[in-house]
Amino acid sequence: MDFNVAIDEALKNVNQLERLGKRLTDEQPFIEAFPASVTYTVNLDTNFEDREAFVTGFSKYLEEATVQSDLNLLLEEGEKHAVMLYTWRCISKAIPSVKDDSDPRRLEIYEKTIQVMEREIGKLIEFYYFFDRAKDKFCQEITNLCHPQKIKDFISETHLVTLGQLINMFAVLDQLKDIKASISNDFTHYKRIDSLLGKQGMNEDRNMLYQQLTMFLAGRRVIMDSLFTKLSTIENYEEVLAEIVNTAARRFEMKCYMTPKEKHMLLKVVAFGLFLIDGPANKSRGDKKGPSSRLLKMNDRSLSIQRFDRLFKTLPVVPLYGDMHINVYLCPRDQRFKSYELDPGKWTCVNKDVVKVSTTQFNIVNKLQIMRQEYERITAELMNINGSYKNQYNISEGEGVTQNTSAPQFIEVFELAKRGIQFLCECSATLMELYVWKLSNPRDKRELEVQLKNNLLNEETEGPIEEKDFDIAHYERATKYNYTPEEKSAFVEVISIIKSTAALMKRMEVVFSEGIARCVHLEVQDFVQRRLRDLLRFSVKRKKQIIRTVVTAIRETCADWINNKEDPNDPAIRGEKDPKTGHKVRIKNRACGLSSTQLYMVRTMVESLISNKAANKKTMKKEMDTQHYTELDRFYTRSYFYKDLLNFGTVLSDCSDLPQFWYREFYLQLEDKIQFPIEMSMPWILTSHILEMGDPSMMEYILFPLDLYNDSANYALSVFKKQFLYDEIEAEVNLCFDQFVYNLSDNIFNYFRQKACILFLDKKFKDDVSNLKIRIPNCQSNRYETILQQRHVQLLGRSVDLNRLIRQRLAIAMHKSIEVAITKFETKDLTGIIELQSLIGIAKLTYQMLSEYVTLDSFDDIFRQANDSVKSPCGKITMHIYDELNNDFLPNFCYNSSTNRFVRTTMAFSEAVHRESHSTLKGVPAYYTYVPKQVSKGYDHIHEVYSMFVGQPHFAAIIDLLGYQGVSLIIEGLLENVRNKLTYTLLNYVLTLKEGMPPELNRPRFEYGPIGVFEFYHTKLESIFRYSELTTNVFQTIREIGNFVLFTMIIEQVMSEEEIMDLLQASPFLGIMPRPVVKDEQNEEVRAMKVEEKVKKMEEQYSSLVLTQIEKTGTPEQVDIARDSMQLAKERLCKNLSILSYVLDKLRSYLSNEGWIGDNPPNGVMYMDECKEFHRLWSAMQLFIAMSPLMSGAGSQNSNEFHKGRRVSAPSKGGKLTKEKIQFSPGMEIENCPPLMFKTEMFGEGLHWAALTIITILGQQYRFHSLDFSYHLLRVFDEKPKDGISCGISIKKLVDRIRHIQLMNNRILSVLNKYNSSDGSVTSIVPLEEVKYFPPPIRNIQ
Amino acid sequence: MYKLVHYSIPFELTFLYAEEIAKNSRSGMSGMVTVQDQIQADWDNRELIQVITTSIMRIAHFLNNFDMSARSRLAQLNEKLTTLERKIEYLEARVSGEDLNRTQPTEA
Repeated sequence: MDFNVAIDEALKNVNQLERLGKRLTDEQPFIEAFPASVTYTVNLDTNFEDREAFVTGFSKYLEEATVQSDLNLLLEEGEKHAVMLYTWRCISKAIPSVKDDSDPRRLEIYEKTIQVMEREIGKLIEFYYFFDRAKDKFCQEITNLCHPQKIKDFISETHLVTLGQLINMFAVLDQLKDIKASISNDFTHYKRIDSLLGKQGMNEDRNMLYQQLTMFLAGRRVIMDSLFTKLSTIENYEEVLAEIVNTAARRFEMKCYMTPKEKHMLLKVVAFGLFLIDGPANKSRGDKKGPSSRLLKMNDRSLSIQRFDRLFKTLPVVPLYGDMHINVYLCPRDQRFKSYELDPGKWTCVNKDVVKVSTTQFNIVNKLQIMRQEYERITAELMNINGSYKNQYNISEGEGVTQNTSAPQFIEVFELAKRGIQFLCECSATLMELYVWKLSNPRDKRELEVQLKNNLLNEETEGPIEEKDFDIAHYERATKYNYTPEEKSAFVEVISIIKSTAALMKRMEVVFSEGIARCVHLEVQDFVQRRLRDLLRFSVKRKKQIIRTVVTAIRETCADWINNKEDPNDPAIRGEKDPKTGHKVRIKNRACGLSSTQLYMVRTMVESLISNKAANKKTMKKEMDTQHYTELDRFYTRSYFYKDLLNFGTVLSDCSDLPQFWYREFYLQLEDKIQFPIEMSMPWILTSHILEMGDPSMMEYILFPLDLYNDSANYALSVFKKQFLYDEIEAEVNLCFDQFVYNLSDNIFNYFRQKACILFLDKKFKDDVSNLKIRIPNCQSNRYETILQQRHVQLLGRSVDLNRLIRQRLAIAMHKSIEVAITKFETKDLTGIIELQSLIGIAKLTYQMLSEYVTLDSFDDIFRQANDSVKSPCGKITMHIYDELNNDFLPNFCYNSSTNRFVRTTMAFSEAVHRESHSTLKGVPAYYTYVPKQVSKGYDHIHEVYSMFVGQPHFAAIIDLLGYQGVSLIIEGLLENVRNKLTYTLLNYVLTLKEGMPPELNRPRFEYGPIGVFEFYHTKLESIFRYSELTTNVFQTIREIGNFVLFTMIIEQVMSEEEIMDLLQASPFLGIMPRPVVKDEQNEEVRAMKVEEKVKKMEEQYSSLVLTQIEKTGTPEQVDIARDSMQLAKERLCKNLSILSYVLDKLRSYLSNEGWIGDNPPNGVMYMDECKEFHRLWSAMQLFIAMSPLMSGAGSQNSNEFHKGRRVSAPSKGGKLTKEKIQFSPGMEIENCPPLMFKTEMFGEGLHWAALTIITILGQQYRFHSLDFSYHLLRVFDEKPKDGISCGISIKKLVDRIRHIQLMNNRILSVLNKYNSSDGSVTSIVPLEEVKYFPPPIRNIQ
Repeated sequence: MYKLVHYSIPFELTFLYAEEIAKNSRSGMSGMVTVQDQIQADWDNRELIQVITTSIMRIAHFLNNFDMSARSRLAQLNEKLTTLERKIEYLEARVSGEDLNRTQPTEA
């Protein structure tokens, strides 16, 4: 495909793209490292390939450039070998071993082994050859430099540094080879198998190679020692090495480095350079030359041991490669410097006190303060530049920048870039140094064991503590147990500072690279075209040939003339002064920097002018003026940074990459393990530290430690190029990320739940509690919003929607919390409904708070799912309430009208209720119920109060949780139950008892007095009183029915309260105005008029609120909805629907049997004395109720004692009501025992309610009122108040009791009468009013 | 971000620059193409390279930005779709199972 797009077009398109890009915003907050799906790096470093082009420079430096390019290639190759050595994993272990020689498969195994290992061994052979080559090249170069003519000559700093890098490379390779014992093991294995196979036969070369290789691999410090040996053959080599060492030391001290790698390299160069000068101390005493140390000799001249000693103390431990470190301060001892052996006093850094001193130096917490300040400053400046460079740099096209217009913008950008990079370098270096310091000083093993044992003792462990041997790995001691929490926090913060600064700078990479390029160009051209003119003139005038040649060479090499060639009229070339008007030099404005070769040439030539060392001891320095010298020096120091900054992208990533925290090849080798668990892995240690601490200020850093995995993975793929490392990282990340999301969502849910619990707690309760000086903690706020808004977290090249993952978990947690609440309710009786209400209230509040940040399903949906009421109208809650009502509430509770509450009876007559056991709730985390603990106690206190009774709050809760639908279901169910009781159980008893009633029972005359009356009744009704099942089953059944009626009544009361509230709130929308207040007016008419006026005004004012307005303005659907809701509201007002009326009607339909009513009375009106109707039976029972508690004597005691034997003590819940409860099974035969004595607390007022309900429904209430036995006794007593004792009962007390019962009955009847007057919609068996017409008696007229 | 200065001379010609000078030189001026001319041409070439690399860098940055913003929007869209799907499932369950108590006023 041909794409012939002109450059102009292409650039326009790029601009368009950027304008488009401005509109695409990413709304989430930026709390992770720079997300780069695409990376683009430019490397313009030519490695001196183009040196031939710049023949304008001195040829000497061209040759140096050639050498340098070769050395650079060597360095690259050495890096590859270092990678190979570092990532070497033991192969021979993985190979199956041959057990004995007779194994038939051994040949196959051998051949396979050879096949597999051949390639790797090939790499080792290559490494060996490489070392030979490199050693030769290095020594050759040193020899060249030590040539007697050259030795006094100036060597450029770049060259020295390159040589130093080579020394570093050798040292690193040496250490790597020594540490990896598996390499030599593998090679030995290979050799053995090769010889066993015997294929190759007698290949002499190969055998010799193998032998050499074995020696090479097995020996320690072979590389450095052989290097030293070869070097010492060169005469005066130590001079050159001394220069190298001094340069490195100077650079280190003056902070002339831009990456941490460079910084550490410089120190290593110093250490190993000194070793190469000094040499290892020979063990053999019989050294003919005598133990002498070159270093000591040079101590006073060119090298200063004291200086290096100090240097080692400032940075005792330095990373070597990956996770390996080198104790620089122990180098003299470990490397066996001769000078150390001979004169240990010179090397004070080896002393142990250094360790103590250094712990303050590595105190990251202190350093963090300074870093934070610098970070804030740099961020501010970065933002400043980002904002202000919206316009193009103010350059007019084609023209150059004149001498007067300065370009501060570029310089500002350059300075900021430099400062930023140096800051990043410093931070990264601090972090790495801390890390290796910790690695080299792991926690003391014994002390750690002691602490771990104490921890186990302190924790609440069940059972005996096992005395186990703590198998603590070395690596563990170095990482997991080695950092205090403050250090970990500081570590995390430093990482986040580095990553965020790097991200900010990376975003502005375009601005920076262009700015830097322009700045460099400008400064270089400024120097070369303007400032050098003076020196040129000076040199021409004073005939300083050398200087002149150099300066001309500089100008020719890198000047970018505006007219494409040098101005021939420049007076400076001829050595003349400038004319009075001044000579103007215009510089072309380009946006590109120098080529690397050009830069090198220029810098080297300038350096040659200012160096202190030259051939023939004739430095150029002496020949110049000081001002020239300062100019040159200034340019030289400033231009050091050009090289790195021109490769801005690369140097930025070098400074901000932190891959070594995951790698542990060294420790794996040391401990002979395959991998370490994630608890020992630094990135995970830091992440879990943040999660555990829950510190709100650290919460936003949580994604930065995960980025360490990204860096390590990148390294594994692009630098180490080993798939197995990446696989390991990936596996670990999978594990860690799962845990991360799990813990994070737990934390988030816990936090919101805590907030909700504390908010929901009753305010008055909180006030009271605080008066008692118990603190309910206030929830510490936390910043989870930023985390919850993350939608594309970059992890190992994949994009993770963190919001979605957390959302899923939160939804599950929400669901679970409601489920747990319901399960908890299922373990309790009806009083637990208050707790259920609070738990669901808390859940709702949590939901509201969560839904600000995360979209969840609607609360109603979640609730229904947890309640199992999605498909059926009857959920778990409804079922449980129904069960409880049926099995526990109706049979066991007693009503008390003075408190309007139900209380549990002391003697239960029904089976124990089976509920869910508490074990289903074990192991449920606290945040599904209440957090924190004090709040939990508070809630428990509150709920305990409600657990002793069932009253209005409970009914309100039932309505709240069930709604109309649930309540109707329950009442229907209970009605069914009551129907059974009425039509079967109670009817049978009534029929039975009727037979026990005397056929006739007229009221005794007043003359007998109360005692006589009472005795009369007592004798007549003896058989009823003695009926054994009276107090048990009969009353129990009646009580259940009574409780049901009461339940219905109270539910309706509570519901109507709520409905009134609803109506009040709806009234403005229905157009119902409150009555306006009018001043007192005498005249009624005027008053009425005023009221009307006011009402009209209000109606006008609020007319827009009325729902009917929607009919004018809304859509058809809205109109329908409005009409429906108005109808609903009005129906409530008008129709006067009542549950109790409905229930009573239903009950009436159940009472159709004759047993209740009796047949038609013979006199056509009513029965007077015959006991055929129910109310008679009830009168008998009422008398029994009245007299029974007053009965004293042996009879009652015996009966009670008899029943005592059956006592079964049930465990009580609250701890306060510890009365024993007697349980009876309903069908038990107790006919032969005396009846149980009646006590009020056994049945409560439900008894009376039930009986009176039946009586009222049947229309017998007036008859009851007039014909009741106890009332009759009461009237008799009122007439003749004569106290006495009859049948062991005091009449006065009896009469008092009857009075109380009468009051209660009246109250009950008044309520029932109100509801009983239904509109006759249900078929009534007994008409409300029946008027019988009796004709007057016909008188016989005589 | 700042805008790049547009150059008026088409860049393709810079490669031929040296040759042109050579032509000119043959016609009037002296000798071969000097090192100076070559170095000047080198400057121009390098500037072109710089412009192109900067542009590519800008394209790369744009792609990254676009990637992130697109992911963010897609994630939001995904969230909406998931919520809707869940709601539909729930409603289907509600509608299919419940055929009782339709006449009662439904108030939770």
